[in-house]
Parts: sequence; structure tokens; C-alpha cells
Amino acid sequence: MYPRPFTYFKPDTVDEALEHLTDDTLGTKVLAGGQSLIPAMKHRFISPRRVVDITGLRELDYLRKKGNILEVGALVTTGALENSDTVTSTLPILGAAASTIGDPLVRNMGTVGGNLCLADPVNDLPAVMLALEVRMVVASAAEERRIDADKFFIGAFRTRLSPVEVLTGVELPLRGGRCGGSYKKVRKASGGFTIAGVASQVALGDDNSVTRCGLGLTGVGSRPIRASEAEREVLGKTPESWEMDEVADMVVAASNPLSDKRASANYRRRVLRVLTREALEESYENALHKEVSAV
Amino acid sequence: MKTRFIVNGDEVELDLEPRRLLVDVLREDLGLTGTHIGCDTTNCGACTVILNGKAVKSCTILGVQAHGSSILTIEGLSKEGELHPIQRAFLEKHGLQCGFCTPGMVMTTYWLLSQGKKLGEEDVKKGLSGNLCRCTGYQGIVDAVMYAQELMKGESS
Repeated sequence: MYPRPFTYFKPDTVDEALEHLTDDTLGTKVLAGGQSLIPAMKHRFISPRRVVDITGLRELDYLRKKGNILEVGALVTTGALENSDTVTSTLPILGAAASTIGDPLVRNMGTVGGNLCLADPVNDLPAVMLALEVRMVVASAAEERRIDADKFFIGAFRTRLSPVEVLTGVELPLRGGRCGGSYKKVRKASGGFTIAGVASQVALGDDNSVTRCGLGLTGVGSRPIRASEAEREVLGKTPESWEMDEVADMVVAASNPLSDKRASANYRRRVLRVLTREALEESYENALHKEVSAV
Repeated sequence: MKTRFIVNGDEVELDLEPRRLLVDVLREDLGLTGTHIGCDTTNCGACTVILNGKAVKSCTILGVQAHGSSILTIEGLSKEGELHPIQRAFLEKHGLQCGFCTPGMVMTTYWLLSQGKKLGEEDVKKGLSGNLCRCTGYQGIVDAVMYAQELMKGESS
């Protein structure tokens, strides 16, 4: 089905895009990769009066290491993230999570910015942003500001982004030392929506115990959830000394899954336990085998 | 809205309503009906075309977004009545049953094989995961892609 009629505007620069967002804020949608927005417009779930297509803003298509920050532009496609050597050598969890989004054709179009700003509770990248404690870079015609990932997502399809703002990129901290990450998720079919997912990133000290842990959850609440209590539980421990059942209890306690046509809340809680163990253990293994010189 | 792009080597200029989808523009305005509409919901990949070198679902792109781009559709593959090696491989390895998904399968294969990496069967299966064959004839398709890779060795596509 065709979307309802709208006017289309394609700016050449970020400034031009931001200028245009300041008028008719409520009727405007920003189009990046379009892999969620266009289907939603075809189903007429959303019918914007105007579409501002930002795919021409090449200045937002960057992926670079700057000091101890990995900077990823909003227009980097999820496919590019998946295949980036820079990502593999710094924060492989990012590529691992990206490679599970949609399918290869969707990833050729879909962008990091779109995945984050749509804030669909089943989108995979938001949970990774929480686990890594990422800062979101947001611009309006008036100012640029940074928002911590755990403040950015406020509900299903809702973020702190105001209608006059655009997410220009994300800043991912590179903490050095031995870090490892893992993203585990369950979905019903290839290309299907995520039923539940767990992002885990750990750092190890000299005695191989965990010195930092980030746990982000996908699809088990109206927004991505950070499992802070479980993170603290594994600090100073190793897979031999942490009590996996207790950690899983804490993760489940932090979640608030719904029942829907894809899965029941109970199923999501049970899956969450398994995914938590898999993600934590794999991230620990990845950290353990990482050479300290890297990053 | 004035929209200009290159399709299968030919430059075209169209006046498009922004809400029209690329797949409809290709089929209805340009008569390139080899690109199919299967699900129309970004799942099945029957509408796959090559946009600026990448395989994409043309039901999930606005026609106006194609402005300034270069597109390759299934019609652009064969040269002077000679089947493209990928098409030959699909024919020889029975990579199709009803044929509805085939243009999409072939175009995704074109993209996969254009990346200059040697693909194993697993890579092919993952690479084709955005294209559905409702006849479920996947083994023939995977065989065809592997065979196409052989045929195209040392050949420029």
C-alpha cells in the first residue's frame, strides 16, 4: 500500500535539515534508512505531512576512533557497522549486535541513527548503548547537546529527542585493558523481530575478575533496560565464583516483559535467563582472550 | 517531483509523487516488471534491486530517493541475449521452482558475488536470508549461487 501523501524535502547539509525541522515540527518525520519508517508509513501507522530525507548528509556517515572514543555517525548503516574493521578491533559487540538486525538487504539501508531514534523496544542497538554507557550526540538549529544513553530512551518509540532535533551520532567509550562483549538474542525466524536480547560488556582486572560490567536488555520492557543490580553482582568475580542463578534472578527482576503474539511474558523471562548466562560467559571469554595491547 | 537516475545503464527522468515506492516506479512507469512485488512489507526480497552497488528492497525505498543513483534490475543482467553467469547457474542447478522469488534471489546473489570474497555455503545462506522462496527450494538456490561463483571466477561480471 502507498503511504498517505506527504511533501518530500532532501537537505544537503545538517544545518539545512535542522532549519527545516523548526517549522511544522509535529507533521514532520526524519527519513534515514527508512527500513522501519517506510513500512510504518505504508501500513499508515504513521502519516507525516512532510518527510525530511537526511540520507544526503554525508557528514553524518563517519566511523572513527578518536582518542578513547569510538565515534559513529547516525547515517552509518548497520551493514557497515557489521563489516567494519574499526568496530571489530575496538567494540566487536557492536558489530555482533548489528549483524542480527533484520536481514542483509535491510542492513544495506538501515542506519544506526534510525535504529536508535525509532526506539522500538525490540530494536537491538539501544540495549548495546546502555551496556557500553554511550553518549548520544543530538543537534538542533540552536545547539548541540549530549545525552547519556540511559536517559535517552524513555518509552516505547519515545526518546528525549525533541521534534526540532536530530541525532547526529553516538560516542562510545573505549575503556582499554581487557574488555569483551557479547550480544545474544532469540527470534522466531530469520529476519524476525527480537523476542528478547541481552547485551553484555565486561572488563577484567589483573586477577581475571570482573572490574566493570554493563548489561542491557532488549524486548523485555517498554524501553531498553539496564540490569544494574546484576552488573554489580558480578563485580570482583569470575564465572567460577558468580552465582549464575542469582544473577539471572536480578536480570529478570529488572525486566518487565509483556505478552504479545510473538511470545508470552513468561517465555521472555525464561529466555532472558538463558541469554544472560550465554552473553555474560561469552563476554567474559572474549575479554579473557583479548590481548591487552589491543585498543 | 523531478527525479533522475540511471537504470540498467539508461538515464531516465520522471516526475514522481513522493509517496510512490521505487518498485512501483520500476514496474509501472518504466515497464521493468522483472522486479516483483511479493509481500510488500520488507520481508520477502522479491523486489530486490542493486542501488549504487548494494542489494536493497525496492518496496522499502521511495522512488524520489533514487534521484542521482544508479540502479541495476534483473533486466540489466543479460548482455546481447546471453544469460548472465548467475542466471545460467540458476537454470543449470534448478535454482528455481515457481520462479517468483528468482529475480530477487539473482540480484542478491549479484551483490554477494560482487564483494570479491570467496563464499562458503554458510555465507551464501546468511547472505540470502533476506530473500524468501515460498516453494522452499533453498538447496537448489544455494547450489546455484555456489556454481555461479565458480562460473564467475576470473570473469568480470
